[in-house]
Amino acid sequence: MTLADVPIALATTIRWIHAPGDTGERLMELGLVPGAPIRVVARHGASHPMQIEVRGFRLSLRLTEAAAIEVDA
Amino acid sequence: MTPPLASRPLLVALAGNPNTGKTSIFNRLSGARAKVANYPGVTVERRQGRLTLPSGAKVALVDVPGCYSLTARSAEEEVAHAALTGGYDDPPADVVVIVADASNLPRNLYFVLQVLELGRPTVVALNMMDVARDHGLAIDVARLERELGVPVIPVVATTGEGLPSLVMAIESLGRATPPVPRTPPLLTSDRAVLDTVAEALRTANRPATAGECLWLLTSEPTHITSLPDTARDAIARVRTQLDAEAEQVGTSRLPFNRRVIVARYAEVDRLVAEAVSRTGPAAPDWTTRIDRVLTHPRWGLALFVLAMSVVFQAIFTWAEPLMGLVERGSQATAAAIGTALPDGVLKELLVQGLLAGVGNVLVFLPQILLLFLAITLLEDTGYMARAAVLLDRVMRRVGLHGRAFVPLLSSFACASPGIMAARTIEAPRDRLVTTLVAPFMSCSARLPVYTMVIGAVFASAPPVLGVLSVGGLVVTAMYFLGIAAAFGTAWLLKRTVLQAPTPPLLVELPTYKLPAPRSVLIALWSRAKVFVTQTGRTIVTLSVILWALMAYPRVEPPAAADAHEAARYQLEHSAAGTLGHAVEPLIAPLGFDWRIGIGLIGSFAAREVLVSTLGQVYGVGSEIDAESVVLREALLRDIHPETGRPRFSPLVGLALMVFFVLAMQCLATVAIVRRETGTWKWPLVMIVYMNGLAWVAALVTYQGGRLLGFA
Repeated sequence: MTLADVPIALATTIRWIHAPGDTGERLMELGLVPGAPIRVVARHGASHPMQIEVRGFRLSLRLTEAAAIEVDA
Repeated sequence: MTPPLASRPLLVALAGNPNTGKTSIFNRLSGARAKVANYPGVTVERRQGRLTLPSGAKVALVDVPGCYSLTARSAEEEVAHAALTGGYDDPPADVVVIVADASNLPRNLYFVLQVLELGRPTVVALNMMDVARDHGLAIDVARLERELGVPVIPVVATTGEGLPSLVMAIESLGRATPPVPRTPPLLTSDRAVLDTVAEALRTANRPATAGECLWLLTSEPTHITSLPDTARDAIARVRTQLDAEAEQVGTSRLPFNRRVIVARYAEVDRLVAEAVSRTGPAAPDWTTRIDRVLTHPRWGLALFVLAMSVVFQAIFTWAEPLMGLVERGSQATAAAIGTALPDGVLKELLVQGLLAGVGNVLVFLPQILLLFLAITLLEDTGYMARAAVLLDRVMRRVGLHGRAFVPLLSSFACASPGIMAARTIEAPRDRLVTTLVAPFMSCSARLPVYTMVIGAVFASAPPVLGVLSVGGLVVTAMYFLGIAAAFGTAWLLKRTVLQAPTPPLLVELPTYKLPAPRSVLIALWSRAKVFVTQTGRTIVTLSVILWALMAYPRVEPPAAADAHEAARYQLEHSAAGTLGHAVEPLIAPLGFDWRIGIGLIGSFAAREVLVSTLGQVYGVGSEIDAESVVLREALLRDIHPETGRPRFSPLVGLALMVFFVLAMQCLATVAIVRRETGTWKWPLVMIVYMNGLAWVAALVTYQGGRLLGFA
């Protein structure tokens, strides 16, 4: 399952970052590494960025990027 | 060579993640005396302040661009790394101060570890301890200090608490010998990779520490400067090998760069487990509640539109009295010079060249200050990140980042502060695209031109549907034409010369905070200083040149002429007048004659100059404004000898407005684009493209209108 499908408020754990190259590395440097706990704070439909909480801070990202983050089901 | 420490100030670099309060600490430590410049060759701002230590030693304090990592994948990160290790004409920092957000420790510690791998004398300023407490977190500072091996000093940037201890720590570190660089936390197998790089660099006569080898290996090659070719080749070989290995194992194992990140975060997790404990539940979280409304696609957007309307109303209405004051001030000064000096070249140069130029600079200052006050407040409260997210959907369509919206919006007031606001966009190509299209937004200087033309040719037209005035509709259409041109050009640029994928949107949503008044004031002061000194110099110079073009060569007016006619005669026979005649063949297809030609040339100093230049050309004196009835009547009286109708027809007026919407005629903007991009290339491209587009669009408007039977 990817982060794009995680329902609001459900806490889960990152399994793998599939985002290629630069984007993937930037995501990981923000703390989204395999094993990091993650929670969806808000989502506003398919065309708007979603909000997650990871390592104590809020991050907004598009669903295309979220779909490249694999999480524990 | 770097001069010895005793004869130069101590170089202290202030580094850290964005949203840590780094700039507040910089402003607190150095006061309002910061010098702002660009790093040579890149659009990254370099802010340097001064500070005197208790011992009397002088400190040069550099505000390093905020970034989440030191690994160089962009100009910001390259500059941040160079500010710590030396480069861009700077020696390595004598002391590095890392500002870390205590409420957000893991991600900040990642950056701390990267800095410690460089082996510079370092101190960590732990900001926002109060926010961490509210989150129910207790940080064992002594423990953290022991684990990191560098001083850790709790501070509160907004009140200045803890800053004296920070200054003491800088003092003692300045005299200490550099520490041993921290070993990057790597897997044993990856250490061997670093050894290979270190060995290759030694052979290339460029010995490097493990931390340096790691930085060289993981950074983007284009962002690594000052490395001998042999060393560069050696690193490229290792990189190729690692890529081949990654290709072979596929997705069963992370590639090298990502293994490094994971290993660092493992070390971060260990540090956090040692030094951070949860003392209680988090206090009620205002940020989440506020965000439920402010980041909502519908309500949030509605509030954003409302907030922006208030900001622009404020900019237009509050700035008005101040702008009037500046105008009256320059008129009074002109009058004073007029009586104090005898008529002659010196007086004209002072009044029409120099003073007019200075007035043109200062008149924009109130709007720029108000706009930057709004931007600083939105930025410091944490709202700007939300606005970027809200507008992402619109901006993504033309290949831009949500953040590009703010500069474009600001450009409705004036493109100069708008372009300065483009600095918040991280990706260089996106920032450049935003900079290049911002001048299409109809700024306040175009408004007098629209007002004048509408007053002259559309004022008597009957209202549409009984209520909507034709003039109002035309002005609205002009604003939309500008927006369409900006978005169309952005779309075009992102697909051609500035091709780059739409950047990913990874925006941190910081906790909402109350801005610190002192920090806001210092930010405003430094903006004003940059605008007046750096942009102002260019505007004043060009204003003097324009005056000379309109004043020379000197001609003797006909004997019977009064003062107005003499001025008009002089203008017609000046270099500018000659130019007006010379450009006539070029602008005749647009419906413009040589008189408008002079106005156009004059408007290249500042668009609103068109109104006063046309006033001079039509011999009604220069003391007129856009609503002037005298100029309007003069324009209507000017009958075309062949058609027998006013030369300045509605169609000519429309073509003129279309030209003004699209043309690049603002020296201030050219000067700022030159400053921001660091070369003359982009301002020149912009001048050619925008004026070419303006010419074609005005041609289509005029000739199309004629084909449709309008005169």
